[in-house]
Amino acid sequence: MTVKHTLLALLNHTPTHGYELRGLMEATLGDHWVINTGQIYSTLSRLERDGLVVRQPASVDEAAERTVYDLTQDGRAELERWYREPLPRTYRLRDAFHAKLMLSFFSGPVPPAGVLQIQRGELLSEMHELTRLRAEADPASELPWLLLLERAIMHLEADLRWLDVCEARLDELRRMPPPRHVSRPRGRPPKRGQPDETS
Amino acid sequence: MSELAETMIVTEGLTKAYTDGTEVRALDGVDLSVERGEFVAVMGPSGSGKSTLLNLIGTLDEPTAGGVMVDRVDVSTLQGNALADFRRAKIGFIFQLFNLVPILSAVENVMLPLIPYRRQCKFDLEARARELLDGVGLAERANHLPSQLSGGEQQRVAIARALVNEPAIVLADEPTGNVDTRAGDEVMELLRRVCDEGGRTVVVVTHSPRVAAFADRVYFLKDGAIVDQSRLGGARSLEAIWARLAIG
Repeated sequence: MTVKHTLLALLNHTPTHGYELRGLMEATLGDHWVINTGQIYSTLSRLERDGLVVRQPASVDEAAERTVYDLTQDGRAELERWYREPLPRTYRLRDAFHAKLMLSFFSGPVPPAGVLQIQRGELLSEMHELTRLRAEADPASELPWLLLLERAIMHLEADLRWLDVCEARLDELRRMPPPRHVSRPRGRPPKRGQPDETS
Repeated sequence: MSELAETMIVTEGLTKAYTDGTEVRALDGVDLSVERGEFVAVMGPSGSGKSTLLNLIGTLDEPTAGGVMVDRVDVSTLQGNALADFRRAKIGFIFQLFNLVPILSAVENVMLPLIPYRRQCKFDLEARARELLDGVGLAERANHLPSQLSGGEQQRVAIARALVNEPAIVLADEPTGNVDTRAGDEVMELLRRVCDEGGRTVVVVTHSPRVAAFADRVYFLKDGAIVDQSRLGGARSLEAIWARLAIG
């Protein structure tokens, strides 16, 4: 999560102070975004140091926490750069369940079909709770939260469909030869011309 | 109250075989039970026997072996009119293809199951049908023909129709199979309310995890047999969700 760009985006909408930024953040993204005020102030001072935001000279309140910030030209440019750049996906593909399933093919005590079924029940159970939370969310006032839940549901749907695909290929997987250790050189070959550390 | 009194549907060794040279078992010794007021999904890939199971529970088909008890009545003891009366009193059906009559309006479609019995009804059938349409958010569309409604709306009319006889049990076969995701969620949310607020027992068969997730319990069907069942939800699942949603 990028607090930096969230603050830039909010300040681009309205120049304001740290305390209000926290409230605006919750209003925009949903109140499940737990962020402490300290993190907002430290991010604001970093942004100020980097010339992306500037204190407004005529702050109404002299108290530090009432300092009103605004974007600079550089801040606006950075915000636009962020919007225009696609974000890398953080969803991890290689996971512990994939490893467990592959291991179950040659090493009991639970057969692969059982391993799949246990996981399916667990994911469906989570999906049930997410479905309930989504039904409870108010579509008018909690749309950001509702869409986040929807995203979680769709991820689970994809995971469950992947389990179906694995199940459909159980017979093929069972015919895989059992693993055998093959010795092969690992890692990077040593660079030539480097001094030998052991000598 | 005994456990038996709380059980709404029980199948024992339920089997349906078709003989076409060789015997094919669409359903092979299924034992399941559904409690009163429970929302159960039966999940399985196509060809696993889901629809066969639902049709047997709904008394639309007869088993080759085994039996079905619905509200403590062994349905195999019922024949002809007695079976039709029992079905009309206890069960509401929802199908994947809506099965609305195209030349009848929404409200007429809702009234349809009871029109032959209208004179025996101790209530105003049309008023009830309109009330049910209001309950599924279609009060304004009562006089529309099915062709003037979207897929999701047609399925909501079908839900209202399934409820017109105030059945204790609602059976739904892939109820979202022919509507888009959003409309499908609305259909399932309605069925959830039919269970939670109407106190009715709901059984949905589906291949879709998104649909099954609405249920309290899921039976997994494969090659005509129950391979597992799972109670859904609970504190552990909720914790897993909060962990997944943790953002900072």
